[in-house]
Amino acid sequence: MKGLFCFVAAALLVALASAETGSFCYGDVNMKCSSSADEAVAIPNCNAVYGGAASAMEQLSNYVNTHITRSFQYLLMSTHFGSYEANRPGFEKLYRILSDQNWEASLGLIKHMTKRGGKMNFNYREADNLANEPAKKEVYELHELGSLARALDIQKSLAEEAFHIHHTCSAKDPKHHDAELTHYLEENFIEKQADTIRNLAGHTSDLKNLLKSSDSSLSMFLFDEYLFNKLSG
Amino acid sequence: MSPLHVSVAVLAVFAFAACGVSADKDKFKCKLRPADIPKEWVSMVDPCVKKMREQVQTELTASMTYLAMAAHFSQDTVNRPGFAEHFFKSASEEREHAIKLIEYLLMRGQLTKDVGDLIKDPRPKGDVTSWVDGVSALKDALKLEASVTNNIRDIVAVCEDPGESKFNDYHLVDYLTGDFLDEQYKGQRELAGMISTLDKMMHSHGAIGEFLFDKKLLG
Ligand SMILES: [Fe+2]
Repeated sequence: MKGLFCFVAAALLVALASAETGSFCYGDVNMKCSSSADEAVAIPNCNAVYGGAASAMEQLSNYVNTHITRSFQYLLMSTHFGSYEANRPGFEKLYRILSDQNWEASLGLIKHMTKRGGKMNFNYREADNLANEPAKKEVYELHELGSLARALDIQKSLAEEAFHIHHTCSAKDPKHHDAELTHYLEENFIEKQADTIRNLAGHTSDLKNLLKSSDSSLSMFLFDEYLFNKLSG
Repeated sequence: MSPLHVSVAVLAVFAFAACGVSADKDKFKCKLRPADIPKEWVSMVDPCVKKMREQVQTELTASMTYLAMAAHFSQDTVNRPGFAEHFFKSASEEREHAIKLIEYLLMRGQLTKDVGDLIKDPRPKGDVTSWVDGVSALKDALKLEASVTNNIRDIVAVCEDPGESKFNDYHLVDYLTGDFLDEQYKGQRELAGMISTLDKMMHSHGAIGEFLFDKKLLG
């Protein structure tokens, strides 16, 4: 009985608060349950929206779409190295893994956006900051070092886009500030991206040194084999 | 430009410029001499290759369509985690199909050129990204699978009898029939069964019917 009293008291308090601001779920529910009119069930404040996440949904949609685009680009880079003419199973595997990672990241992001009361927009795309590079038409038939340079550029631009969204959510202004979203980005994107970038930069340095000899065909074969074994282990 | 941007640009320019034409003594040997490989074994004919390449895009369009369904049912105010999980899984499966087709083409000596034309910015079919209820999404999924099945049957027809060249591609046709069509027919039966169960309940028990069905999908 005492418990019920407390519950009613608490409910009354919430109802009072909502009467003032008009933006609480409980207020919506009360309106809906007391009105005789039998309209469609609309309780606009009963959702998962809170904090600044809502203001980041466009940026997050763009980030999902970018990840999907990059995932397909990596798949094509992997395809090129998988042909019998290029025949570099190590590079094929490297880009296949990056394609898989970008795909999984886009799925995870969609799940997180909807967890925070957002909606994924597949058509929201900001200008591609890596488009028309290195040529007007996307080039996938790259040589080994060129492909590493391309992958490094892609991963850095993804990391910087995460910083950019993080910056928005770190704003002092409560409309944008969202501690949960910054934490999610740090844990699932920002930390991993630093590792990926460092790995690719390391491979680029190694390969650059190997290519200084007059015939690098043997070096390239050994480097590719090292990549394959490392990524298979 | 920020220092980071400058360094990215410098690295990119460095990598590409170093590999270009230059009389520089210590330029890199980025491009190796192409190998001389007999071509007799590369036996797939153009009309068949063209059909197979198109199917990669078809599978990825299906993948994006399922991803849009997954995103829709994940929303807080839709709240159908079972449907969402089902469609997220379907989206990744369709992507795997595209990869399997690519791997087959690579195995047969294809995709040595025009790799960039293989995937053209796949989007959800018809740009549809919301559904009135679960059963309507399942119906769209079944129609999508039926059209994919027809596409695969078309490839089989073309690769069996590609016209002038008369090259019947037994192995590819067997692979498509035994692997892809097998999965298509089983998947379609599963979807039709799901629709059957849910659609029966929708008329008089829609709200609770979809709620229970969603939890069943979660497993
Ligand atoms: Fe498929």
